Amino acid sequence: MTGPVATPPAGAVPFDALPVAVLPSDVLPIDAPAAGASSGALAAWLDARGDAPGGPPVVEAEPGPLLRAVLGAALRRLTGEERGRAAVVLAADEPCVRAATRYGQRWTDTVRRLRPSDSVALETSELVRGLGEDIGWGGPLYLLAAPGAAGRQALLAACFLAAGGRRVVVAELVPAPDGAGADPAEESAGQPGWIAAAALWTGGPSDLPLEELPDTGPDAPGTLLGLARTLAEVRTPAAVRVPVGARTPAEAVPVPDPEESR
Amino acid sequence: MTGPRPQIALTGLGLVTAYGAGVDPYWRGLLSGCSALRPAERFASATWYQGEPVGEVPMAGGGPDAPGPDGGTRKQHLLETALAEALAAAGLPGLPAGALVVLVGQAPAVGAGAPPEAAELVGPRLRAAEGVPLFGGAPFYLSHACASAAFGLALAREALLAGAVRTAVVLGASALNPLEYASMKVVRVVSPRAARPFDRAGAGITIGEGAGAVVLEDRRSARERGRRGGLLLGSAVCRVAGNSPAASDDAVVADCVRQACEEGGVDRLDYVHAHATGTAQGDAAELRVLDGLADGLGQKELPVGSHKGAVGHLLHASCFPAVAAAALALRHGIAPPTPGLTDPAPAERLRLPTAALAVPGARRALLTSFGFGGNNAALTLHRAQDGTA
Repeated sequence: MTGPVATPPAGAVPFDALPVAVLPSDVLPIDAPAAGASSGALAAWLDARGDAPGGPPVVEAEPGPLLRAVLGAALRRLTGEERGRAAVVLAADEPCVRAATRYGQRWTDTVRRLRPSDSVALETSELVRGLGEDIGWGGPLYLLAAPGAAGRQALLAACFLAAGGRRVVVAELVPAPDGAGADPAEESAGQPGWIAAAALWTGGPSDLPLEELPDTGPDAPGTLLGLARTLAEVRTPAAVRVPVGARTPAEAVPVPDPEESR
Repeated sequence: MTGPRPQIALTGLGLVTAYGAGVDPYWRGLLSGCSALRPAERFASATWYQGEPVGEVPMAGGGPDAPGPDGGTRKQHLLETALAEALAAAGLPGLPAGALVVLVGQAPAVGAGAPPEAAELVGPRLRAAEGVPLFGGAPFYLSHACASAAFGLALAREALLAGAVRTAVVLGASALNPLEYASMKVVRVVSPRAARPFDRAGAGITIGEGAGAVVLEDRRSARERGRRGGLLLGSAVCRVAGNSPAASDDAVVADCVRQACEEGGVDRLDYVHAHATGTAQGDAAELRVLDGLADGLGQKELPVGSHKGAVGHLLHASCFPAVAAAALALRHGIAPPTPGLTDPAPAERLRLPTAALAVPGARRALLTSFGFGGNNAALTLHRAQDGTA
């Protein structure tokens, strides 16, 4: 993880101390999500959520550190081999679409020449690379991008991956609910931002009542965050608000060494 | 999960490459050692194009820019051609209800503001899935750079192992387009001559186009409907990790191939179909890892090949020709040569054939697939003990 994480206010429950609980059978089988927002999206996040589910949100300036922080928080609830082998299923349809759109715009830009970083930024998985180094995670990650279906499909995938004997983290990266989320590779600060959520799957293969998944709406920008809201209503005891952390310099997209490229 | 793990059979395979439509033309082309790479008709009039060879699919009638015969995009046409072959090979009349369909690519679509040329960068829409009640309601779309197809096969295998579905179809396509070409040119990996994987004179990659589709089934289900199911996807390991967004990381690659062999119960390999794009660094890293793997397995002349000097690098779909090469190597007991390879780089325990090599009784093959963004994957294919591949 790079960049600072906002310090939780006094009395807030840190992510890692949250219990990993199996929910009652009438509640969807995911643990209280770790969640966060890029700094540009924090106001929208608080407007939308009010009560931050599962603890204070992680705040990062850029989507890469944000996503890695949130995924790391969820994975840290596991230990040893369970963490090492855990699968991550990431719903990221909108980031993929925006990355391709941005690349297309850059390709047509007659003033600004295309850069190696533009090529690298096409890959949304680049936002996750490096996650495992600090926390001993070496499991698979699946980045799902079917428009409007990636969140539900992520939950289905979590279901069958868990049935195969793995612990599973389901995660989501979505634009801020004002609808003006930034491109995940945007360099400029002050952009409206991104919201990430990740949660441990705690259920079994038959625990997923898909028909009961909450609809995506303006105040619940994705399926997993919709679930977060449901869970927050069930068991988050108190509102926790976090001050916006200091804005960090924009995350630099490394330029590949052409001699090292695949 | 209780009870024995099911075996996952590969029951259908479809392919389109610069050798033409079909698995057979590809296999024959690969065995011939002849490269299908040549200057792009499609880019011939483009001012930015510098005449590098590409792996362009010969499209019957209408010239290189023609859409598919049914009005879809070129990419759609390639995809649907591969899918039709795979379904026919599996004895399926169409995508089965309840099947998991995993479509791989860069992104499912682009938003407003993208140029029209981006239509071949994203998607394609899978028309054959429309109206079919698939697992998850729609095709899963997976994006893992040039390792996307391998990640798709890994995800499908997990769904089959868990018993969530009985059939899975993994498919993807790549059509030559100026946007993806520019994305490779700007990182300076495109070779001015046809790619020469594993060759001391390798100078980079050659971009190709094409499509692939793989039908996977629980082997018991496949046999119940009369399929032999003799070729198995023994293991599939994938990771997003590494030190660089664009370079192979020896440690991660080594970890993937070791895990794939362990999970597949592989104590001896008969063939490896490597990612090997033709870049000096990437090929060297892969050779180091495979050499170490051969050492660990106690093998001295492990045959290793690549198709990228034959049909080019199919980017997100690049693992499909690898699956076909490995599957046919097991079926025929032949390790295909690597077209473009004339002066093999040194590798102590590997054999880099420049002509077809007999591997009698071949039973197990390893495939590797890598991509930008830290995407790494390794798969093993096995001939079933009680059947032919």
